[in-house]
Amino acid sequence: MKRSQLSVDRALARKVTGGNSEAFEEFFREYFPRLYRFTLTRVNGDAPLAEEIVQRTMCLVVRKLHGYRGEALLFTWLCQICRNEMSSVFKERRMESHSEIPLEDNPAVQAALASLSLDLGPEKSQSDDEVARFVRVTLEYLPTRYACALEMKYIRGCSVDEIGEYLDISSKAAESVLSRARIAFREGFRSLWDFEPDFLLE
Amino acid sequence: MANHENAGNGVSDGKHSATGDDSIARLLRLAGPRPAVPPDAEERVHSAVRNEWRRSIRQRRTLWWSVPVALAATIVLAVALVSRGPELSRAPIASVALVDGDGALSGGSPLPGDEIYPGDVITTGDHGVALAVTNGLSLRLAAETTAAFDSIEELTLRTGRIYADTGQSIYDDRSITVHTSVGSAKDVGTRFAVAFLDGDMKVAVREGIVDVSDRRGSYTAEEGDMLTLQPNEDVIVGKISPYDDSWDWAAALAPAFEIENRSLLDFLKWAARETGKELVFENDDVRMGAMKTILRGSVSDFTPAEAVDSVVPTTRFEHRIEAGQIIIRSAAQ
Repeated sequence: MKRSQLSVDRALARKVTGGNSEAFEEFFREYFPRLYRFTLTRVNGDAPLAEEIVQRTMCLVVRKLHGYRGEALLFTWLCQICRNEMSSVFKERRMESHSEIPLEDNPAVQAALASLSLDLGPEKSQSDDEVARFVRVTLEYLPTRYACALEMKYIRGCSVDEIGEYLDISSKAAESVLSRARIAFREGFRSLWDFEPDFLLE
Repeated sequence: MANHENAGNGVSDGKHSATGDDSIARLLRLAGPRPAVPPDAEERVHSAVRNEWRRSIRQRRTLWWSVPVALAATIVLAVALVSRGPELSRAPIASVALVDGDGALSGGSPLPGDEIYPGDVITTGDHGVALAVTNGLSLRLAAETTAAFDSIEELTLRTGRIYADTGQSIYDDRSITVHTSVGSAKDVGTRFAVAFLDGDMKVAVREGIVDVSDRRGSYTAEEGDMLTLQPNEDVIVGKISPYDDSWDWAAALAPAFEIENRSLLDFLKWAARETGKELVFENDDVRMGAMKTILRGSVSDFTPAEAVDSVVPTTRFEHRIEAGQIIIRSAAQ
């Protein structure tokens, strides 16, 4: 998944920096919601602050997008810039950032895994929040339509027809998207966390 | 838990059974819906980002046209600078990075951001001052210190204490010579301090080698040496540990370490260096864990020792200071 997604990301970045309006809209639709949720979890749910940080991040990103070389997923790159902006805002306002290291921060995966493997014992039910964070972060790393399809199907209980309608595609195409989304989720999960999603349920 | 080791092998069988799909469904239900994005927020941000994007596109297009013009202008300006002599090209050799100490700054005290030029004399007054030299060297002047900056590589310490850190890279060509009326100390890639108080010059070497000279001859001071030079007296050679309390004033003026998105290992290495202590890990797993632990936030208002005390407890590690060592281990369960 990662390799093809990188080429998709590179192409999108090239189009946006080239001044293509459609590409810009696609870029914004794809990444604003993901970045917003990424930020929201890091500012204790402060929606206005999340909005401000995401706006600063995206304004900076559109100026710097020509520097994106496609070595990492575009979303990973955006998250890195977002973290820096968050840090600047915290400093400017003399706010304390979370002293706790976010479980889902990718470079800290191994540390998070270690703590997870300790927590997932007899008192497994206590770590439901952690499980939820693993799942949500994985969803954010998927293309929006995949994440939407999975959420609609498994959380909201929507039919394939409804998913197709929402995504503006046929029912058959929606079924195909759903199938690819399941594969992408599993592969994305494995790639992000280096273990099978089923492990969380054991 | 039983198959934890096998689960992490990242190998896919390529099949997605009903059970597998069921587990995805269960996980998603367990996670619940992701937070909704307020449409009005999306609209506001969209408008701002789109405007910024349009502006940046326009600027980039303008830039393409303006590059040849700018090049031509640069050539003309360079010619003008050369013909008008060296005073216009006088460049700062350092800037004030940090002012430490309690109480308000007096009118004449250096302020953060102030630039230092060759020939400038700095008097620190009640506050310690850290300077960032343009060649990358870190200079720290204790309170009640007066020093004249002869050039980027030489300064004269009239009174007080000065600490120099020329960095760890062997590829850097940074060097500083500190003169006093008694003698001179020239670093050879190191961290050292020179104090000139009541006519005595003391040179303490924390790391590396310093060449010291006075009217009677020249000496080489190595790590852990402290040389005392007095007018018309033999040099006295003493010892000083790299974590002696007498280095504390310099640690308090250490350039801030930006911990945001840096690993715990990087942070600890910095703190160990600034406090002169050895960094020791309980075992390789702990070291690896420190390397993979990414920090957030800021410790800019803390001394290196305070920073360690406040950062390590926020991770899954704990530390203790013992006999010149910072010892890191996994936090007790």
